[in-house]
Amino acid sequence: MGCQSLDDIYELYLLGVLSAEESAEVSAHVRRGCPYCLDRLRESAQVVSLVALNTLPAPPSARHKAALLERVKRPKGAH
Amino acid sequence: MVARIAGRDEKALAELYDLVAPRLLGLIQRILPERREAEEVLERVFVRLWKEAPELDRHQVGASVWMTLAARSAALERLRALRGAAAGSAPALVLPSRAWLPRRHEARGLDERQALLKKVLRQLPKEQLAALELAFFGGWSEAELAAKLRQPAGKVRAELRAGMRFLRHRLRAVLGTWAASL
Ligand SMILES: [Zn+2]
Repeated sequence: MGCQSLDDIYELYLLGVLSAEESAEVSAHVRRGCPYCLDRLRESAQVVSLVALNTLPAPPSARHKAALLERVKRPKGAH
Repeated sequence: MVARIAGRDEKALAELYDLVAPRLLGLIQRILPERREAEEVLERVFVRLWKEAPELDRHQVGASVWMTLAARSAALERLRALRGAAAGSAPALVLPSRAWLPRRHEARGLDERQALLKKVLRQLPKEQLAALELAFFGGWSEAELAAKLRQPAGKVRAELRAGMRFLRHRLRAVLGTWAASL
């Protein structure tokens, strides 16, 4: 699979709509690490993330943040 | 921000939380409407950021795009666990490195142009936006989307491709403007 033929595919790949086979083919190509495709992937990640802009913010409950900060402070394995 | 979090700075994590948590929870609730479920997923995303920050920082990954995509995939994963195979079954991505994730300056460009990019999204033709949102928030594969939208798979792919192409070209224009105005 050539780089140019994937040009229009990377957004769909990151979106996860491709069939398992097609997705595996793209993954195999990505693993080669061509700079062109990595650039396209970085751009595609931005493009895909735009779809999330069409949502209303929902402030978390007050205790949520405190619980999170407690959790990261806790040493590994502690309760 | 990611660098400070990588340095185990809890205050930086709290600051980032204030900045992005409401937006992320809104996104997660589009996928998982139940509040408690959604908040658990949100916590998981921040804990993951805390753990992976050193690695993300090494690759100069910007927080915002990474968090959006991580929140989406964590919410879809939970949705699938709750509903079994009935939920969207698009294959999960396993990418080997972090090199594909947008860098700090790229993520910042997006953050600073958010209002404009929201307008861009609203300019999408209705059918394209509907297909993109169903894929993004439902996690459906192309074949599943075709069944849901009662359209041939080829038409669904054409809508998704056209929608993404539109967003890509607008994004390039918007970020180009941003770079030129520096
Ligand atoms: Zn390539």
